[in-house]
Parts: sequence; C-alpha cells; structure tokens
Amino acid sequence: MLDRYAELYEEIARELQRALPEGWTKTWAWSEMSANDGSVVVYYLDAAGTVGWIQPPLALYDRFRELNNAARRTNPALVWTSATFTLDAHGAFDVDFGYDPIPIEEEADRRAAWKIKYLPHE
Amino acid sequence: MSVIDSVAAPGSPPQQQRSTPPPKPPAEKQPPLQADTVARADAPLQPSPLDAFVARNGGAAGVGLDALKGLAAGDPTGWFPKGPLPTNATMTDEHGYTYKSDMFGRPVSASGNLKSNPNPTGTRDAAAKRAQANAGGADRLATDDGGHGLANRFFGRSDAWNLTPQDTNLNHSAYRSVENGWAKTLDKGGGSVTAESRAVYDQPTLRPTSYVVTSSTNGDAPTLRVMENRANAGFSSASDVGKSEAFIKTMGRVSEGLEVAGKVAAPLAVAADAYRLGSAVQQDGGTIGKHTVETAGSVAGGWAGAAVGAEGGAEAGAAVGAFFGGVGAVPGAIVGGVVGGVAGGLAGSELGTDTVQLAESAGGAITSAAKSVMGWFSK
Repeated sequence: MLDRYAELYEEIARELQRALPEGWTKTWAWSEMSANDGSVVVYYLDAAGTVGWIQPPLALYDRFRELNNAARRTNPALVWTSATFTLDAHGAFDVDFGYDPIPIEEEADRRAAWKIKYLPHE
Repeated sequence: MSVIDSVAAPGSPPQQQRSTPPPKPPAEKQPPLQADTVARADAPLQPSPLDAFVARNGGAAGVGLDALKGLAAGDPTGWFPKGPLPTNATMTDEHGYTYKSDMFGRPVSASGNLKSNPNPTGTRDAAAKRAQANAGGADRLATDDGGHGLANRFFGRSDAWNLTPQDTNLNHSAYRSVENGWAKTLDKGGGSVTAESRAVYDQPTLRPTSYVVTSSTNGDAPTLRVMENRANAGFSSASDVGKSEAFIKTMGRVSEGLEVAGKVAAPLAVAADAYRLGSAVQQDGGTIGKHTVETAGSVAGGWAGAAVGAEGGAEAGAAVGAFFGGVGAVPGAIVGGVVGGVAGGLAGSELGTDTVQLAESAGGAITSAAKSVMGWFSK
C-alpha cells in the first residue's frame, strides 16, 4: 500500500509537470475530497516570482481521488478531507493532509485561509 | 504503435467478415498466462497475438470502427443512446450562455459568466416543468430529478440543453452547495463567476455518471470539481450485485448489438468481456468462484494479444500478470491500457472526430464496466 502511495505522488507530480507552463519554479495543488465529490485547484510560481494558476487537468483530479480511495481502504475511520501537494522544479515534494469538514459552500473562505498559509504573499 | 495501426489501417478492406463474431475457445482450453511472458512485448505468444486480436474482433479493427460509425448513423442495434438534442451542436442563448450536445444528442456542457436571476421560479413555465420532470427519458431513475447544468437561479435554461437526470441527493446537496457558493459571490456585489458544467457519460445511456464543474470566482484560479451521479452506477461491493443488474443488462445490449451488426470494434469487445466477467461473478453468487476464474482466464488470455500491440503494452501486460497474482489487481488496468492504445490510434486516424468520440464513449463504458468488476472483486 505504501508503494502505491509513492506511485501516486509520482503520478501527481507528473500530471503537474505536464500541465504547467515552462519556467515554473514551484507549484501547489490543493484538493478536497469527500466520498462522492471532490475538487482540485493549482497555483504555481514563475521564474519572476509571480503567482499564477492553471486549469487543473481532470487526470490530476483522478490521481487525488485515487489517493483518497487508498486512504479509505487503509483506515476508513481516518480519511483525509484535504491535501496540499507542494512540488518544486527540482522534483522535491511535500504533502500535507487535513481532516476538517469541508462544506462546499464555504470553499471560498477555506481557500482564502489556504492561500495565506501556502502561497507567497502578493 | 497503436492497436489500430498494428492490425489494419483504418478503412482498409476487411480481412474477414461474418455475421457473428467468431466464437471464443472455451475457457479451460486457454493456456495459462505467465506475467513475465506478457510483460515483454517482443516475446511471441502462441497463437500470434495479432491473429488472436484480429480474430476476436471479427476482422480488421478498422472495419469494426467503420461499422461503428455506420451504427451511430443508422443504429440498427438500438443500443446507442438517442438524446433529445441535435447532434454535435452548440447553442448560445440570450444570456450569453453556451450549451453543447454530443454526437448522440445528449447535453454535454453548459457554460458562461453567471448572472443572478432575481425571480427563478417565475421564469419556469409548464413546458419547463415538464422538461425537468422528463429529463433522461427511459434512462431516468425513480430517484432522479431533472438537474440543471446551470441553475435556473442564474438564468440557466429549463429545456433539454441544460437538463439531465440527476440523483435527487446530488441535486439537493453537493450541486446546490456549489450553486450557493456562486450565488454568495454574485450577491456580494461586483463579484464575478465563470462556470462550466460538463455531463460525463460513462455508459451508453442518457444518464450522466458524473459532472465535472469548473468555476472561477473573481478571476482567481479555477476549481475543478467532480460530482458523482450515483444511485445507478454506485455499486461497489458484492453485496450490491443486485443493483448491478441494470449494468449487466446494458453490457448485454452492447454485446448483442455487436452480434447483430456482425462486426466488432476493439473497444466494444472489451465491454463484452467485462459483461462476461460480470455475469460470471453473478453466476458464482457474487463472489469469486469457478466461473469467474475461468472467464477471467479466457478474457485476459485474449486481451494479452491486443496489449502487445497497444502503446503502453508493457504496462497492460504487467496488469495481466497482476490479474493472475491475485484477482484483486483487476481487468481495469488491462482494459485501460488497451483502450488507451485504441484511442491513441484513432486520434491520429482519418476517421474523424465522430469516430474518436464514439470510441471515447465506448471506452468510458468499458472503464465503467471494469470499475464495476473491480468493485465485485474487491469484496
């Protein structure tokens, strides 16, 4: 199972690399998942230090869905509801998981807090 | 190299034609498959994998695909979905919203810069209510509503362009929550929301299996959200096999339709195989028993040939190996590899977007089928 996690992290990184424009230096993919629905948002930093975003590919969503399903199989009592995957252009990555409720209507508020926590201040 | 390239150029004359697909050898006569044999694309299998692939598909795959195209136009088998809209059409309405249909006349997307409708219920007349009550026709479930792609509260249409059969729970919870979030932004004054709602059909029916909703608030990074339209397709364990009857019947229609047509396209043969596997599981009372193992052996053996020709053949081959290592590892990966190869071949072919779309639709059905089989196996 741990191997599968490693594979999925690699696949997430690959999907991001495929989707991002040339010259990106760092990227953040933020996903929220419940049993029947989920979301993903992608920001990145370009060489000039400007924060940009891309349209997230569906394939990236699918990888996060699989990651969440894997968690469901491992320990159904403790399944993450949010994940932040941070990747730099050298391939180093980091994943944070959150376990708080994720009411869809309050996504905008959560995103504002998430941006403060992860993105460079604009 | 793709499966199609390896078998025959699209449009080339048939190598063989018959009124029904060739019978497959009984499962017990299939030679056991070794994972290491399959994973090496250069290792010849006996009989020749390409011969086996061609034979399985009632002749050249290219011919099968041409047949598919013809089927879509005339559909003598009656299994292609018949949507209420003109096919492959785009329509922009007075609110600046764009609606699209697919080659089966099903609504596939609704998009635009959202505007608040101050009087949503007042804009719904009797015809609109009727359209909402009937969305999905025969494929609508008792537990479905007529769900709007873009809600009436944003001036979304209440007609076939914007309505699909949608699980009532989804309509009243997740989907509504998304809309509430948009409304909050718009009502704040000066807030803007651009949104696109896409209906995804993994099966040859008028009922979407999921919705992919992409929206951007005030020009910020878009959220891509996927919402499953469960109820019909949401069986995930052997205890749910009863619910899968509708699915098995759909797959049955697929394979029967192909026999009527006398020609089988590669992607659809997979669907038929998924159906066989599903039936075998059911014969075994919802568990993995004798029937399942025999059928799985036959199916995997047959597809190993195709996998060798597919782009990513090695990956597919490994999946076949994994299949035998423990049934939990599944036909899904095999099917995915093969369909990927077929779709790749099609994308570069001269058959045009209709056929590609058709293959994608078939591929979706197969993926869904494979997922279902996985569900059974995972019990």
